[in-house]
Amino acid sequence: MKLTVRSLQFTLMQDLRYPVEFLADLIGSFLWLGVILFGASQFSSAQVQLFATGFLLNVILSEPIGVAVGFLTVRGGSAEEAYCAPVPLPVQLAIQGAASAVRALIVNSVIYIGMALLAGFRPTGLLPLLQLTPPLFFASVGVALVVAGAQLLLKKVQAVSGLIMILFVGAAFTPTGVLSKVPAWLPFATGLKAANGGAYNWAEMALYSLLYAGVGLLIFHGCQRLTVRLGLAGAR
Amino acid sequence: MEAVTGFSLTLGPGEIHAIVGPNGTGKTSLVRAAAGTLQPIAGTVRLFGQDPVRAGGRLRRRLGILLDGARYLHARWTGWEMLLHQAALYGVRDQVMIDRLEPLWEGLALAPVLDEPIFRLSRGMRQKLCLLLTLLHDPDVLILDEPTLGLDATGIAQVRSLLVSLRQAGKSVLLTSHDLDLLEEVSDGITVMAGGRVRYRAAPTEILRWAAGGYTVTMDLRGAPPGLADRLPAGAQLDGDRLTLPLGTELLSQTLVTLSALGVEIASLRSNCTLETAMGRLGLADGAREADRPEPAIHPDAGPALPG
Repeated sequence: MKLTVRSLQFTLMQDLRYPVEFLADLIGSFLWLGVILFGASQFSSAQVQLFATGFLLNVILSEPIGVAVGFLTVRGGSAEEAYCAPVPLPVQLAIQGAASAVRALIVNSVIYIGMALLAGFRPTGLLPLLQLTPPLFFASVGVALVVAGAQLLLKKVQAVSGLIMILFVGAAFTPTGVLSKVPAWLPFATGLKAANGGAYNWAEMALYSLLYAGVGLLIFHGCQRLTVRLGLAGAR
Repeated sequence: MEAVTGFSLTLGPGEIHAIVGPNGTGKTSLVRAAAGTLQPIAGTVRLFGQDPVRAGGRLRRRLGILLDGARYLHARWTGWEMLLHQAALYGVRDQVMIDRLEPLWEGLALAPVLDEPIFRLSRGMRQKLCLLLTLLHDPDVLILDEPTLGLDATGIAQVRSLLVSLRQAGKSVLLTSHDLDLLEEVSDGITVMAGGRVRYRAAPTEILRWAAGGYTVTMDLRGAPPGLADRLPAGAQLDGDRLTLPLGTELLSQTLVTLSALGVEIASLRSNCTLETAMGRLGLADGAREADRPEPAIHPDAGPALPG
């Protein structure tokens, strides 16, 4: 618990310590979303409300995936010190991923409220954003663990994590025509559904989420074991 | 790929053992195997009777590792944040951490920079911070890969004192370093590696004694009395106030007795035989060719011995 609080505290501290970067990031995200949603004026206020919820949800859920690679490269360079700590590496990754997701949730809530003010809709989509993030977080951690395992073993997988993040974020903009063809077990399917005003099946969501976390953990352990056997833990 | 072969070592409490050798000789592979981040193809590693690869939290709390240290730091965090985070990671209460590390960060001159973001710290400061992180949970066994990397002379002296205090506290330390002066002073034993094999294993003094032939001791005397040259043992050469004699013979003790009897004060004394020159003689300096190395006469497991 203390480790979680510390990780969150120090993650948020970065935004206070580097305010220019934080504000630029915030404004950039806002403008980017604004250009997409308002640029061609093709969306109504109600559609913007739905899209913003789905889009921001998947942005938040993609955070742990970015952390998975960052944790083992930017911060670590070497995963060895983290590996040798008494807290298992997947738990450390999940904690850091949670810290980043909470930060993203706060930032994206601000963006959402800004969008609501700009587009003139009531920020009611904030509630699903807050409700859906915790259960879906485990699915996101599962995907992040697979990416982290690949990072340990193969190194230089930033492009793969970038690709998955694009899938998450881009999924919110899936054309309505192909919606029915998107399987519900895909980790970004809920965000997609939220972007289209669909109803949520909480039991299904929780099941898939835990399944992702479990499979991710298994794959990560396999990669970790192979990494130690091949002596790649310290390699960059 | 086989990086190291035929290595065996038992490290007891309060013992500092160093692994030295040219670059690419397998030192880091060895410490990684000891830390459990690399599984040996054959053979076993045991820490307190357990396999470090499969170690649980309890064993890991007894182990402090520094592997290519400065990479481990989060550049945007402050040193203080890193310490607090590490304390949480190892389940150490903040006050316990402060009580334990305060003398160290004062001793390492880190206190003024702990609130600075890590990217602003010099390479040496980062290395010292890594040492603090390694010691934070009071481990019983320390595995240190190049602990003095990037440190200035003062920093190296501070690490030297730290290592001595760790030995006094009964900690076991396995380290690699190219800083042979440091190893000469703090190590209880040194394993010399070359080409992935153990070449020699001995106490630093043993290595120096073996390598002493042909080296000299030079003393600067504070006012050599007239006629001193005639009273010195044969082989000692006096030039003004500077006295030079071969190392590794009885001459040194005889000369010291003579000087003491005459009440001659020695202003300084130095030898050109250091662990570094000894390594050069053993053909184990960085960049030395395999053909230049004397064939090891003693198998590492046969005990501390040297060729010759």
